[in-house]
Amino acid sequence: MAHDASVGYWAGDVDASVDPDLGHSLNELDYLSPARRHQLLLGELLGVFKVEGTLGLARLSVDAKKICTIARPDTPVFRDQMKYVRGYADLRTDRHAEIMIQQDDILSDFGAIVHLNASRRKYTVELLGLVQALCVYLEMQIKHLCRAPRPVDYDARVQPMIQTPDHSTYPSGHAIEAFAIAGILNALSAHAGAPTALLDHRALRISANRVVAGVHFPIDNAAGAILGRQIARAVLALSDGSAMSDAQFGTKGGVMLDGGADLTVAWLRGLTPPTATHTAPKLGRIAALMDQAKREWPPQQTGGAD
Amino acid sequence: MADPVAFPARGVMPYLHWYYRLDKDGRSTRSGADTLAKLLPRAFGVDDKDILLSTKADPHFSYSGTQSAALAFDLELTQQTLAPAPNVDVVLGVIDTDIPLGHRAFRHADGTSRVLYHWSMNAPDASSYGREFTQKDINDLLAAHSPDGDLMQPLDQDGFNTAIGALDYGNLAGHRALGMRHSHGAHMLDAAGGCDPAKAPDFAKKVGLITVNMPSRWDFGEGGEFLEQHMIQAILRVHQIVEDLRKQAHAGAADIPAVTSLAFGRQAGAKRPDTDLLSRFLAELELGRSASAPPFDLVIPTGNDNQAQVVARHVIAPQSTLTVDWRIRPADQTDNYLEVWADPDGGGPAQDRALAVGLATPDGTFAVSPQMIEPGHYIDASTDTSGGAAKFASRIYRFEKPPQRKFQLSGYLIALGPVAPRGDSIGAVPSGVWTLSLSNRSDKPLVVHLSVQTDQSVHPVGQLSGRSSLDDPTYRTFDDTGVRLDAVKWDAPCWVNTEPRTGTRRHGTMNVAASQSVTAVVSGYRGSDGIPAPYASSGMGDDGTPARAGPTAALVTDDTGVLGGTLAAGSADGSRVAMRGTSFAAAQACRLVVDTWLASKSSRTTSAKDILQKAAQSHESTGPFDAAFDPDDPCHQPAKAKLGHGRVPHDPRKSQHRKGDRII
Repeated sequence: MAHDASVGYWAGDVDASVDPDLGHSLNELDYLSPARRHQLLLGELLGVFKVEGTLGLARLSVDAKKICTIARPDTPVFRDQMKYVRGYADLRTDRHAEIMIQQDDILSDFGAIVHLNASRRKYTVELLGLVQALCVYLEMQIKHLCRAPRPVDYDARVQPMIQTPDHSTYPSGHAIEAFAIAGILNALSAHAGAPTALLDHRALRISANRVVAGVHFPIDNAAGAILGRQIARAVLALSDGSAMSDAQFGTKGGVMLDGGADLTVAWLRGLTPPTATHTAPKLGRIAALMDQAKREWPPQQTGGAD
Repeated sequence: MADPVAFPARGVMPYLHWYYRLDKDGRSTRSGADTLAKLLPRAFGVDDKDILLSTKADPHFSYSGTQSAALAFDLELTQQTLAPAPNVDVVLGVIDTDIPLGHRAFRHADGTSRVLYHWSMNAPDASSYGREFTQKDINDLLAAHSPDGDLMQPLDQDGFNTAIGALDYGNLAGHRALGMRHSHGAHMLDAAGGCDPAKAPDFAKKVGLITVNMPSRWDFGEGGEFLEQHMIQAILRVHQIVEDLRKQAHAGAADIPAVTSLAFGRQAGAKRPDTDLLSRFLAELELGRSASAPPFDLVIPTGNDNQAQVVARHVIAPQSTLTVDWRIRPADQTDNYLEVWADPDGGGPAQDRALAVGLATPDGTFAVSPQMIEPGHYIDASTDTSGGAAKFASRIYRFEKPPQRKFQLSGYLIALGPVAPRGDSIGAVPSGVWTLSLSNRSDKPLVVHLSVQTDQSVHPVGQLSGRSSLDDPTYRTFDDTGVRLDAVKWDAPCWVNTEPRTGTRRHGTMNVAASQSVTAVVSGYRGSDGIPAPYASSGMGDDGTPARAGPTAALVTDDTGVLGGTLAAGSADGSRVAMRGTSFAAAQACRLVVDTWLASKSSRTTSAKDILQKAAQSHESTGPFDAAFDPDDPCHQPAKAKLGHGRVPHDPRKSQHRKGDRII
């Protein structure tokens, strides 16, 4: 009744003036809303990344080739790290505000270092959101394989300042996400000719704040940093079909944070970049998004204006 | 209770003896993991604490004299390892905690450090007393924590601060402040010697910095029991380095003046220029300086205990007893100390036998009637109430007789264990009001001074130190109009004392380190109207003792009544925070002295004290505030306890800080 009232009589013929063009390339996604693009690309990435392993050991692969393996440290290592949980707890009053925000939002932290406006760098924000979401799906599987008790499980006096999550302390999801985001932004800022060490500093602070809060050990962050960096490298490789590498943490022959040590920028800088092992398949739609993001980071002009 | 027991040896400080108290099985209450337990034997130059307690003590850690004071530690750097600093005209020393040397304000325009020498005094174990750093060492660390070694790139501040010993999350007693928003040392060094090297390259070049990062509180005791030992070590080392620099830079011409801020001090003590350890050390250091030598001056703040109810003066009638209430806070995890000193002046040698001391717990379970304890002896006053392994929980010590005094001072230390000990072997005391009984056994009135020791948690942000205080119904916190009282107040056209001459007072809260007559001592005032800072500790005023009547001068420690504190660097490079306290007056005073010396070569023989005094007098003569101060006006005399020679003018550049500008 309403239909008839609106359009009058319609026999089912087509209006020749309308061209229902949704683009002709599979890599063109602008017809979709950002949320739909996110779902589409995340699904595609999750089809390439895979987590497998055994209890205490997790392997992350891309296109069936390993990019990162982490092993869970023994319990004494976590016990040894409790001194840092105690030491960092002294910063709680000072870090309270940012810890509360970082429970749900770490992207804004990076927006304090580089421009991450949702209109001026909308594809960058979209890319970072995609990488972070990818990390969440991967890290939950890795955490399940490497599951280890949280600091509060060792001693009731930890008294975390936020609710301790149900999932494993090891590796730190915040560290994975923060270092993955920093890895992508490092590449974009380098593309613009303006690299900055502050991105890694920020990722480390976000990670350390979880120790301050009493829900993580520094070694969780070290494993998370390795994983996050490898995920970022893999996404970058998938966007241009370049070489990928394989990193290991906590395994025999892999890097390891000394149980008595804290995670520091110096430790991260001292890591030897993993050697290229294989070439990544180029994912057209990821490449397209990366190109759109890079266009938001034009190389900086040198020299003065005339 | 038990009969008096003699100290195990002459020269052992009661604080040290109390620290190493034994449990009922004769074992030390201090575990091997205790930092101080490791440090102190080393500090005393012996290998074992039992030897320390039973045989000897290094002279400058005792009351037997500081003449032989020397560094008790084998520091590695020598004159040869210090790089010459020919461009340096003035040396600024800052002895403080949590100093962030990586800030741009402490670096040259090329990113290299302005610090010529740095000593991180952390004492992680018995075999070392921290580490020393030359300018090259600091530059190497800066490079190691900068991307690609490029000193113009952002510094990994946490990494650098950790490497230089100023930040330590893995150690319960480690430094934390540089991981937080503000740190004392950042504020001090910036206010005293920070600059933008691009805007003030001359200042950066000509003012050489020497910095000492004091150990964490754990290393000098929650009550500051061993603070003075560290302070003496730090001063000695700065003195040595300055001497070396003078030789290096100017071929022995020794024409570089040096001023050093030393913003530490404990509250309890005799507070006389001839008695306390640091006072005597400073006097001896000054005496050892040749008349032609350029200044080696220290600036010490008065402290911030003015309102803490921790100082009292009483006059005890002949052959009578006075009781004083001493309130111990609940859940206090730390020891509490109270010192009582009989004023000997005017009394003669008989005063030595005048004062007897007694102590009773809040519920009266334990009570020691006033006893005349012999110098160098002690008695146990109460046993452990917690059922732990401790044998006793409180003790009364009589200090040994300080040497070479015409009249012997009579001093007691009352030491109480914590209310909530952290271990079973340490005796617990009940919280509440303890009663101290003071008897005058002489035939003359006896003046006694009481002071409650500083009490800070060893944990960086701990709140469980529960500082004790003196309960006194005559003490007034506010006046009838609800305004917080100070030791003096402006009541136009005069300054008036607000306190009676006896009872718990603000007068005399100036800390022990500031109570000597050698160095410049500074207090604080509010920049907008010149009113003394209510927290700034007061001098003794005109009570006639040889203790300091007041500071040398006062500097701005609050911009206005609303904008408390003053601005200077925060923990992170580029940040600025407002901090309040008389320490920051000391930093500003050092800045003024440095600026004066830089401005005129002929002024470089003028002492910091004289520079501050002249600046204060000159400023006061202009009548800058409604609350006027004329040190020659009889009705202004009471204000000397807070203002000394007067208020040093507010640096006009500083006022712009609150508008957000960064001015050097």
